[in-house]
Amino acid sequence: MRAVLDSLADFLRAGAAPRTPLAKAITFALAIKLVAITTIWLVWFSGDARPPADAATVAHLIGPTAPPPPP
Amino acid sequence: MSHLDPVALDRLQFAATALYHFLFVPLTLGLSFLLAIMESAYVMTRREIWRDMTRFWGKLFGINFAMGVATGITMEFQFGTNWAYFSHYVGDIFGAPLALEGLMAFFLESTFVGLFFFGWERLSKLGHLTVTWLVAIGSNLSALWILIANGWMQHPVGATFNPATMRMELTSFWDLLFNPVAQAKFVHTVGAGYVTGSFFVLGISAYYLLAGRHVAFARRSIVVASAFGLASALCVVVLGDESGYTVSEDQKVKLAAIEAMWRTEPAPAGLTLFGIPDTATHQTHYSIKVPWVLGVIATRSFDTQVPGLDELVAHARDRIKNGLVAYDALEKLRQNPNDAAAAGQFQAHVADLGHALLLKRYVADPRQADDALIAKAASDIIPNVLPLFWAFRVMAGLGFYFILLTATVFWFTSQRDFSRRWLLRLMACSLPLPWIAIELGWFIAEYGRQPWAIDGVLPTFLASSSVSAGKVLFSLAGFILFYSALLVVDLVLMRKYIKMGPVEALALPHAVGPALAPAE
Repeated sequence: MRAVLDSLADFLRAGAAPRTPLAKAITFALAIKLVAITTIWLVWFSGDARPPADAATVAHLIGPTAPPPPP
Repeated sequence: MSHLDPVALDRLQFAATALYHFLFVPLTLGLSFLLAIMESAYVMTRREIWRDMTRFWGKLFGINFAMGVATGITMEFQFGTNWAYFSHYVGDIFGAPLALEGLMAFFLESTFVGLFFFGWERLSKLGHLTVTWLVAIGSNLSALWILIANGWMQHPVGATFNPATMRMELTSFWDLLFNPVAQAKFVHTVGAGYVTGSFFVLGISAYYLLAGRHVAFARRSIVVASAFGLASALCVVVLGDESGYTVSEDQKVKLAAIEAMWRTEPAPAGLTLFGIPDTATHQTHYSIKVPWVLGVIATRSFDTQVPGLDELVAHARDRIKNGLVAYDALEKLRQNPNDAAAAGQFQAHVADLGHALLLKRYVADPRQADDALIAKAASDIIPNVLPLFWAFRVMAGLGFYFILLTATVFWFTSQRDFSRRWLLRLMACSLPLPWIAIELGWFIAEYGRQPWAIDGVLPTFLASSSVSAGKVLFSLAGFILFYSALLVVDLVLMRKYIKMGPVEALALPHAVGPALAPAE
């Protein structure tokens, strides 16, 4: 168990302070990806951007009063 | 922007992110098992070369894993924003497998990947081997949950529509888990991943042999990858046949579209090898047919007919009319939830409610539709036949090519013959082909399901949210830019470490191991 925990600690340390060129490249790419995905989520897909969808909206959507969607 | 169809853009955005994400997944699935096999050989033989092979291919696996991880998460963003009605309608069923996949991918898989890379010096040989196998099993289990979710979209079982909540609700988790379509898709998809991993190893090893570098390393890698690749390629075709059988049982329209089978033929139906389907005239021009084959493959019998598209459209007309009874009962239940007669009528016809919803494309109240409109909505069940027909043939053709190539390589490696340069060139050039086959497979599965988001339950045009075309187009452009940049980084890193080779990449003091001797 000690070996497992030490290995995982090394894994986390490599993420925080990468030493090899490959580890540095991967950590950099992962950091950029994390920032980009978080930005995408905040800018385009945050709670405000989500249309309300509950029983009432779906009932309206498929119900007889909602007009057909534009072709 | 008003002339752009937001639903088409939503679909395009989801397809782009899914197809991009799926560039990484199959290599993770396949390479993880190859690593486990190589390390097992190391533990059994104690030869250092097997350890070096595991570590080098492991490096490439790590690059692929790191570049691919979290690229699928943007699809989940889209569920909430672009597909909000879909998410409400089926979230009760869809949410569980997606959450399990997230847990597996982020915690189980990532933990074992960390142990794989940082446990070489700390864990015992057997302990590290266990970790490597768990990486392989964990990544395959992640795929299982995604394919259970996707399989449910193809063949919705174990769920029923609740008029009170206006959504599908899970009635049997076991039916969801053991959905035959999901099971067939899972084995077919992971098998395709194993082929991808094998071709990756074969292609790069062939490149080393052509360059006269890392000969012993490359030869051993070819031995493992050709055997694993041959077994996997055979499985993919056999399990693809099983997948085709489940499609013929549960997605008859998709099968008929893939085969451009416009009309029902006497059993057993023939298989069209070549042809140019014409959607306007419902004819396939210049067709070359092999008698009986489709009927036998699709129905496992000589006397069961495979229904043609025209017959399936006629059947859809009946289902729409039947679904209108459920639709009317649903409206009555919304007015009076205690209406027992309406509840009974709804339950009796709910299986066809989705077909009645196809009319919402043309008319506000489907109950007002006349026969002409019903016929028009019924004809919508046919997806675009031409791209499906050809995508399937290219995919299947590649599948047979993979068997042929891996069998040839396996034959020569069993003779310890690695000298045929034409074969090495063919192996190197074939490296990207499994990706083409796999992406086409996804295209067939998803495009062939149209016009449904959930087959027979929810039409795609009702599943998409009313996000403006401009917004979707803008985020789509952003995704393409972002993902293209990631792909470039991935390819640059891969190329760099492949060119380095195992000696430099692993900082080994000398060339890797002796060449394979006849006795080994």
